[in-house]
Amino acid sequence: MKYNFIKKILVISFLFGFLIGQSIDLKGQKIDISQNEVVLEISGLVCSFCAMGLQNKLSKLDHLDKSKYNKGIFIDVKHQYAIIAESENENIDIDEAVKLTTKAGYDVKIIYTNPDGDKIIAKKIGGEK
Amino acid sequence: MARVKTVLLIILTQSSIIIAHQPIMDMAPRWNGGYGIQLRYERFGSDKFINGSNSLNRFLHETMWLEGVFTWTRSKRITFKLPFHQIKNGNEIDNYIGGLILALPLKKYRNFNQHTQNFGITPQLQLPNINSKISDKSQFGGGLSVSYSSESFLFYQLFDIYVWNYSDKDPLLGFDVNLGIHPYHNNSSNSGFFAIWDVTAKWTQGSTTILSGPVLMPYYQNIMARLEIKYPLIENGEYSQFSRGLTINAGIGFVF
Repeated sequence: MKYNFIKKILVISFLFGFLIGQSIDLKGQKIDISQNEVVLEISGLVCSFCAMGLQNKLSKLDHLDKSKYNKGIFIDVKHQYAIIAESENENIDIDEAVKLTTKAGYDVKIIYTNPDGDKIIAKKIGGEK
Repeated sequence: MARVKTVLLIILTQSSIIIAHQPIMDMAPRWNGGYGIQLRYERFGSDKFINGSNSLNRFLHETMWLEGVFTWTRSKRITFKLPFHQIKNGNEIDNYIGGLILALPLKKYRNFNQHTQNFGITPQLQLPNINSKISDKSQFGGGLSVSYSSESFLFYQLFDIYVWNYSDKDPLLGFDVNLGIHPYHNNSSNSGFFAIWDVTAKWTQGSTTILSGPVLMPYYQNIMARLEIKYPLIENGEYSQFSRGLTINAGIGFVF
């Protein structure tokens, strides 16, 4: 009885996750991307100290949802990506995010967005993936 | 007395190490408009000569370095180092401010999937301290450093070769190697530490010194610390000079 209940919870969680967002795989790390998130795959990001510099730069973006992550930004150095949480009403300026990342000393390789909440779009810098 | 002064002069001219590392660390701050300041304490000395014989006096050289860096862009920076020296030779104590060292590290970065690397060239200038009592202590000098550095999530390496030419002192050639690991990172608190093995070699006319030892570099948010302990593997020279003994460096830096 208890086992069936847990199973139902797991199935519902999976379906709910499928409906509200999709995921990508970056260097073996599964990353869920919801409608109000932008994921930047970044090269050159190798230490937590580097992440601090990037965090400082990206926190200058307008329309961040600062209630999420670390003031709207999550950086994973091991898998080399950043998640930017944007407010529900207004989107962040993605070109500005790329520019700020470059100014911090790193290179954006691919931008992942989920504009309608049902399909992840990957944009390679310099062209579509 | 004349011999003590001669030995002291040799110590001063042979032992003033202009380390190749730039303030804070090779990579911080990398962001445009970033700046940092660091205090570093350095000490070395012994009561032995390099030929192994004992001296009646103990020689100790302590230096407090005030260092700073400003980053225009990640490939263009300016740094300064200002040393405050204290030399104890037996009962004699000498305090003085050394020459200001300005440097312009120019780097070419390349970012890869799993690591980042840079090639650097750094012109340097040592300005004499006009208030110095003895001109030998603070001379005009020019230096040039060529470096390569690579860092991944786990490994760090730096190779640096540099030359210095002084107005009234023999030129110096130096080579520095840092090989290390970066075993702990914490993304959420921006903290971690490096464990590095350092080898420093320098040659001047008739003198060779090779030092080696461990370096620990913990960091937390915008604070970085560096502790080095280096042992003299090779010390030889034409003149009778004091052995350096252990060289200890301890610094703390803040970047913004």
